[in-house]
Amino acid sequence: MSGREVVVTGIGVVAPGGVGRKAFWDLLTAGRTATRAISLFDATGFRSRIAAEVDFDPLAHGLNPEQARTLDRAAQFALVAAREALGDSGVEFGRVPPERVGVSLGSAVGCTIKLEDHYVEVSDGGKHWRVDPASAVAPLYDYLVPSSMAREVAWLAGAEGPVSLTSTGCTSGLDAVGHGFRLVQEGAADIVLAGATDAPISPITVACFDAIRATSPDNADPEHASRPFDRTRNGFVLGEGAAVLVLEEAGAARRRGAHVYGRIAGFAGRSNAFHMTGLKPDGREMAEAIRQALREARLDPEAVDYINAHGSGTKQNDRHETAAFKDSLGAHAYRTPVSSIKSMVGHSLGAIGSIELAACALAIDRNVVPPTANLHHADPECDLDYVPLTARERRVDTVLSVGSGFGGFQTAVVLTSDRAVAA
Amino acid sequence: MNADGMNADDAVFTGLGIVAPNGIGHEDYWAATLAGRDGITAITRFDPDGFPVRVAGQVEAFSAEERVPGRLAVQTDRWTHLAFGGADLALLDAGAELAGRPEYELAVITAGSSGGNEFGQREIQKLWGQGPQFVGVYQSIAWFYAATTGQLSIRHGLRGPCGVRVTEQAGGLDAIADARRAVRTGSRLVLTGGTEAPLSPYALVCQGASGLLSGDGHYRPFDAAAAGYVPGEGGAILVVESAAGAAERGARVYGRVAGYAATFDPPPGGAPGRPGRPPGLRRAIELALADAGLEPGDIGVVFADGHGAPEPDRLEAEALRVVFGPGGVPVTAPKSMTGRLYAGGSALDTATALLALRDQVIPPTTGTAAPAPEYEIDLVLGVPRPAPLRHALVLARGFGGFNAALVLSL
Amino acid sequence: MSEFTVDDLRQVVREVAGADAGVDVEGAAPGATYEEIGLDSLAVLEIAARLAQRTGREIPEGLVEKETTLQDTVALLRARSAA
Repeated sequence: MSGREVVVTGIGVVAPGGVGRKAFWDLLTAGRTATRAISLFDATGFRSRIAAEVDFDPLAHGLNPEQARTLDRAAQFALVAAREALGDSGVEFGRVPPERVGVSLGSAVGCTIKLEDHYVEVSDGGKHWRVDPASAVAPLYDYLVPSSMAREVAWLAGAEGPVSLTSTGCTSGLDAVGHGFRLVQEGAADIVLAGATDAPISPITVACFDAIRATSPDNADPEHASRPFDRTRNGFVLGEGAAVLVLEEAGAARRRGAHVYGRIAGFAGRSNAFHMTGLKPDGREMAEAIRQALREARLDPEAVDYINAHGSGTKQNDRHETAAFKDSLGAHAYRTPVSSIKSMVGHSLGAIGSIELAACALAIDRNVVPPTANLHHADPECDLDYVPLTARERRVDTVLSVGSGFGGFQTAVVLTSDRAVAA
Repeated sequence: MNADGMNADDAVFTGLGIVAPNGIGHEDYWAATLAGRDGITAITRFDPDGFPVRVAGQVEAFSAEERVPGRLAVQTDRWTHLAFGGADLALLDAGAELAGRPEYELAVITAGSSGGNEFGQREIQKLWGQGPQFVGVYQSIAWFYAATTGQLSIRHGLRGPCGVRVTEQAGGLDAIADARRAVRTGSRLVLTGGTEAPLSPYALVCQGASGLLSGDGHYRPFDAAAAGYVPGEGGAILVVESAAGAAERGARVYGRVAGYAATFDPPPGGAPGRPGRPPGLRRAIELALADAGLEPGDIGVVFADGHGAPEPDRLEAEALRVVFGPGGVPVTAPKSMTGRLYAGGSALDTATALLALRDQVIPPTTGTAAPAPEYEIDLVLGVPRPAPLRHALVLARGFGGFNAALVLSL
Repeated sequence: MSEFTVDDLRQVVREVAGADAGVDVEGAAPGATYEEIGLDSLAVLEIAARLAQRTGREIPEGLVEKETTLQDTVALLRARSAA
């Protein structure tokens, strides 16, 4: 796919451990974890009672009382992240035709908290299948159809170009940014706010992961529960959050002297067509997505300086993607630092892909590779360099970010530095 | 297939899989639609007394027992069942044999709006009524918006770039545009379109909150007495292939994606500092026409979004009037017979437009007595209208301001 | 629960897995594993959950897996209800 170059000029993050890009990067580089006992609801009786939560006061982060009251938590995250990204980009929106601005937001589970809260009311605590229509409240339709969150971001940015919500489960965050990339690349928009959000820490979501034992039951030791690539890993820790990137046509960004974090150089998706939740150990479809993304970026595997892994911390995932890295990058996989920030901020389902891309863009910008926290026990099946415990300073010009999710989705994104402009 | 103007990597439609309240399978559906037979009936799966609507477009003839393998039926919502059925019909219609095809060149990209409503409501009822340990294993894969795409990918071995779009009614067109992009970048065959199953009690209560549902149970697009829409379940799965791939296997081609555009409306009352900007539907139409390299006069029929409420109808009529001139193009909204199917609806509209192109006839709009005179639209009412058709325009607007326009050409 | 039989278990399996050409519950010998019957890991987890609900007692993780046989499952349930 050829077309216009696309760069990242703004980043906004709402993540466990701290709201804002700076707090996020500080957490990652310090190797601190933000996983703890669930406080957002009473998790007594659930199998996994831990999560990576955001300490979030909507009013303190620029939302008005009506938004704080009526928007789902995920929508609130998206707005705060979007606002930070817009400010960071320095784009003067008054001078950009609104029809040239788009939004590509991702989310795996949409407005699940509000849907669940109101369900409890209209069903009287799950007593009635025929729920009570009279106790419905006005924003319920917004909660039912999660594109309402993309609408909120579009209104914030004054976007009148293409606006959509991508919902491909746990690859939503990568896929939404990939879609935004395509919009600018193809000329459908000049600026796209691309990112993702999820606030899934609610009973129904925790229960559904309990049922399939996907989440870590290490309730006595929340800080160390998310252990990607560790031999003792036993599942992911549910997280929440959002990240939004401002994607811009490169020429225009450079002409206005924008600070460029990096360039989106390649994006590809494949599917394992195997099982809705299961992964085969060979990782071949993820490998194929990686190869295609590198092909688009016109880069050899040897160019990759850092791999931001999906690294959810389940037995099968970490094995699956280790195999995918070896399959696609060959011997270079052994020379490339790989890390999973889910070890620190948990797995926020659809949001995490965008949060990870924010980390990748910052890694390029700062030449620092975030670590994998909690990695103490080597697993013979996962024998690459996962940057245990401590962030590493090194030149980072090319980053590969991957994701994998329920439904079999496998996505790869390649980001490169824009320091040496074009070649 | 029309040889002139068709490029090798054009996205062409080779199979239609329609699962609609007034017909399952494209021939049944088309016959019913031309005859003006609607599929809107009293809601049967629960007692709708007191609910925001008491009628809906229901695909009562669809039996999961007959059409969906038992193992898959228990782990999916009716929304996905309808898509399984649609995909089977579409692949049969296309005569496409998937075995032996390069696996990464096959993909599925669908749209949905509300996911697995009934399945999700059952599970959440178990959680709150009995306890968290009563939530079943399939909740993690049945309710979320990606379930249908994921399941279709597995069922048919589609390992290429798969996707899911959520833009309410605009979703079907947005997914088709993604399918076009997939074809242009190496996919040989893509299942696309979408289905919806929004008729569970909780989902209906949520829809009622929009204020856009019909208060009197009638769905009358563009009528002066229009008072809201009737929701429905169903939709269409379509097979999209590269023109070269379709030609190579001698497939019958319904038509191609000639043009597409998506825009977004300014907020109600205007953006801060930018009052008075118009809604984006007109621009979506113009951009789609430009993408197709066509003029308004080339369009033989418009399949309208046809919201069936006064303000959206007025705005759509205005956009059409500005682009095509008063009464300048035949307009129709056969969704009056099925109800508004959200993402499934724009997919179904696309399939319907392709059938119109195939048979050179415009299906009617029912329900509407007459369009409000100030709209100045030529609404095809009551009976089908034969017409020389080369290009059709399909419009869809998703709740919140999402506009999509798709140009289809023979 | 001491009367819980392999046929009772077959009924649970049928409910969880759905009637399907790929899942042969009726013809499965008591010594057949869930995997041999054609069930995936999700279905096995669900069977374990339903059995726990029926007995009112938790079944420790790892006792009912894809490699577990029908008869071993029944024996396990009888032992747990007798305890």
